[in-house]
Amino acid sequence: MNTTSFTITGGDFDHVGAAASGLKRKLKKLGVPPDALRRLVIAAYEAEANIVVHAREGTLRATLGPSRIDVEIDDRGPGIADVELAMQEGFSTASPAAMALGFGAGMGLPNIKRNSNTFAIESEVGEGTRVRFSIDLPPQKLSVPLGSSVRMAAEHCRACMRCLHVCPTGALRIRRKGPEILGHLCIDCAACIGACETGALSAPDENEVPPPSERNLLVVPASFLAGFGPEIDAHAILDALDELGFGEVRLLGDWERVLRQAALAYARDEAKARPVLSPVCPAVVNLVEMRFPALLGHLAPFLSPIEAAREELDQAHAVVGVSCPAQYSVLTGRSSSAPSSDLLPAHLSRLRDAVLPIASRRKRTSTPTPAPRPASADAQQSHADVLRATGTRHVLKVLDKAEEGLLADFLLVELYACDGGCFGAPAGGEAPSIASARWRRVREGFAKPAKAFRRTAPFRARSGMRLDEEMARAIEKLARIDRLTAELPGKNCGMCGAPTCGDLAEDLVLERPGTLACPHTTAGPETQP
Amino acid sequence: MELTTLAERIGATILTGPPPGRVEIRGVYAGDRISDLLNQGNADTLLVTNLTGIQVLRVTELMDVPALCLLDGAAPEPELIRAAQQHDTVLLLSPLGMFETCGRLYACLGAASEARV
Repeated sequence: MNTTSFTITGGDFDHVGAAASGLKRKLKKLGVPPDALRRLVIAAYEAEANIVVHAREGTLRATLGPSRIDVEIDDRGPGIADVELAMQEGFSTASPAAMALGFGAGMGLPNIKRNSNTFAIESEVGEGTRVRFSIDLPPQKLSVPLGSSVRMAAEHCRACMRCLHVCPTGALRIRRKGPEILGHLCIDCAACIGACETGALSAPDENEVPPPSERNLLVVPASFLAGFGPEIDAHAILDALDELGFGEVRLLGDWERVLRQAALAYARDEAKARPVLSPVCPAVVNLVEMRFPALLGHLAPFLSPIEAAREELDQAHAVVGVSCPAQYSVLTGRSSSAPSSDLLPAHLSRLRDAVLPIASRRKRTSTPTPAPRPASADAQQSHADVLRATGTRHVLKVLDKAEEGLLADFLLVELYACDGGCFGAPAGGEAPSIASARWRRVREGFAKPAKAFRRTAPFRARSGMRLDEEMARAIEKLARIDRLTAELPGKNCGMCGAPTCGDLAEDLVLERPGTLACPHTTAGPETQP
Repeated sequence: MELTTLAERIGATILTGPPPGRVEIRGVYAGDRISDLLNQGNADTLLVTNLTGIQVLRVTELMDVPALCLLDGAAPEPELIRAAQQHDTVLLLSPLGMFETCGRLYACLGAASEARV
């Protein structure tokens, strides 16, 4: 239903505002933007208070349309003898009792008018008063179906359905022809790539690797230097890269480190909301924008490490190694054209193949491992204030808690979509726990100064969840999806190719092409005549 | 300024415990008319008022106002305290009247803040 009504009783001062409150809760759930909601709440409250103060009883009816909310308030009461006079600020006929409670300031009707886009009032003495007002809703585009940077090779798909159950946003479907990704739901997190054993899902790799001679500065993730087993240490790898033409190698971790410092400073000095979420992993940022819009204000307004590296280094001389679909998307802006100068995850593993023989030859005779320096008091302090979680399963739990306001004891939350952080990204060659443990032994000597960059564009909620451009139709579709979900067996088995029964119901109601029938019930796409 | 610090500085008692998170107060609005409180209330404003009816809490709830400061050391009805707890609104009680309470708030938040007293 897109009309809601409330009954209001005259003189019931204990419950004045109950209708405005009910309306607020309902419209907030439907995604009415905050500014429109605020104006609506003020106007509705004033109208409601007028009934309580002046009339015997009345109703408030709100109708949500595609582009505005219409509110009608009708009361049975004394009516208004001179409407023009009543509209003047400060004019009031309220009783002293109402005034003692803070009502009757003569601001009610002007306040409704000021906060609404259209306003009308008519009144008949001895009968009652009708007030009509509306609040415009800013145009909200139905989500542009965004692409996904996960690459698919349908011929390799064995329909094992593993990927279906690891996708944190329910973006995957297995159709007859192979996997399909609902672009508007995909956050490029690579969870499905990790689950796919046949190579049907993979990270992007379409462009050619640029010859190193043209660009001699290479940015790689730390996992690259720690991904060659126990024998070959990071210095041997740097030597090999030098031989391959990359005279200078920078680590993406430098930008990760400065982002942490900047985000911590932001959390201490500027942040309005605790805890602050670090934008360190672009897939997590995508997830927040899609599923946790209430947390957008918690994101620290900085570029992710990979964007910052791109920003800081001269485009012409640097090659940036990209570890995962999310980094790829954030560099390409999800456009289909690949960044010509950057190394994609597949290239990193090819580069690893090229480095391996050289590095083994040049293998250094065990450089003594520097003893880890004791962390300074400041570093320890900041550590206690930082919550870190990796892997989509844990990330979702942490974001749920943050949304409930239960993590305010942390200053900063760093979340990574891949298990084990960026060491677990598709480009990693070694198991993340092993690579990161090896890296911890040697990382001290590699840190170089880097810059953190403020974002110029704000984080934005993805409006991808709306089912129809028109709010009324969206509500109707939602009801149909709920009904159909209840009829399905609730096994969430994935045999139909959708991860849950609810997802199948949505596919069926929205008539997504390629939807298969439920194997347990009769629910399925309507057969073509 | 953080709400509990602010309460301490102005010598106000906290009647209902602050929520677990930090509550940052960036502005103050003082007034005794519901319409004004409704218009000026928002998520980082402290409202100061002589009103002690339950209605004022509906306003804080509707406008997401985090905290309300009552005046003259007059303890409110238990009903008001219960409602504040229910809506996670922090209730402060200043021992002073509106003029002096606002004076102290102004001294804390300074002219640079949005203190609209």
